[in-house]
Amino acid sequence: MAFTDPDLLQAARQYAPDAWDTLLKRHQLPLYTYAAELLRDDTAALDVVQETFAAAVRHLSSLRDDRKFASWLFGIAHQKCVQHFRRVRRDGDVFAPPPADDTPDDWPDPEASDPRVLLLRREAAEECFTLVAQLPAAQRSALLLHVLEDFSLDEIATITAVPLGTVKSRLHHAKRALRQLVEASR
Amino acid sequence: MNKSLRDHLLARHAAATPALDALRRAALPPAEISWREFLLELFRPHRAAWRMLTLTWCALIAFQLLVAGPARPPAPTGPTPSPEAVAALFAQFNADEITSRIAQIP
Repeated sequence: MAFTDPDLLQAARQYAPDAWDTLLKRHQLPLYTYAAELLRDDTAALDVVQETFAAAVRHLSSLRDDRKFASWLFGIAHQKCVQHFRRVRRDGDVFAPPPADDTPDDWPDPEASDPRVLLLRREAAEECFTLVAQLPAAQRSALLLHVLEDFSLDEIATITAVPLGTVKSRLHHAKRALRQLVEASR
Repeated sequence: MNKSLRDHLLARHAAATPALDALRRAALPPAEISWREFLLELFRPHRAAWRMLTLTWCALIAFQLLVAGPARPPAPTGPTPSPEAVAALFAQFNADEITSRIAQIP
């Protein structure tokens, strides 16, 4: 029987070491994948994961809702990535909202074109990742969170500490930019 | 076999799993702590402070011993005086005479 995150957290609070081991093991690869794709630096991504784990163990008491452990963990990782960007790049805020205010009122994409369920062959996937890597960091972040952990728009807004409208805008621009990159590559 | 974009993304970075396992094990909190470890962790981080405190106490004790001087011999405890000796002692001091002399003091 697979234990849920809340079950494992309850055991972890009672100093069960296996609980923490199982919990962190469940999220380690998605966390690393998010950091690596966002930062495009494998070494920095490992540092982000290490700091995220340490912060999670030390500050578990700040988690209000055990059901939101994954989004809380990714929120810590996202902040570590932002700090890394600020250390490495001092030219402006790479996570600034997009200049054009053409935020869609609703989420327009139907399930069929949703990248989360898009089934790909490996070659097509590699091509997709190459294009995703060309997106601006803010759009790449929103897209990765949406694809990797199936976070809702509200959760992505909480993780990245931006308004819901900004998340919608970033995803909208990300998909439009991907479409343009695909057409340009043909 | 076609996989989802998520599966492709995770497979792309699966080679980092051994490194991630090491990071995870290093981040795990200790399960239990024995009394010995508890006492060690109580004193070990503050060894310098405990050392200074011990030196200060030793200095205070040494100073106290130096200032106090040699110890005085205890008062001799002789036999209990006889009633006759006590009466003779009182006879040397005439209480009425002493009282009248005190009254004469201006």
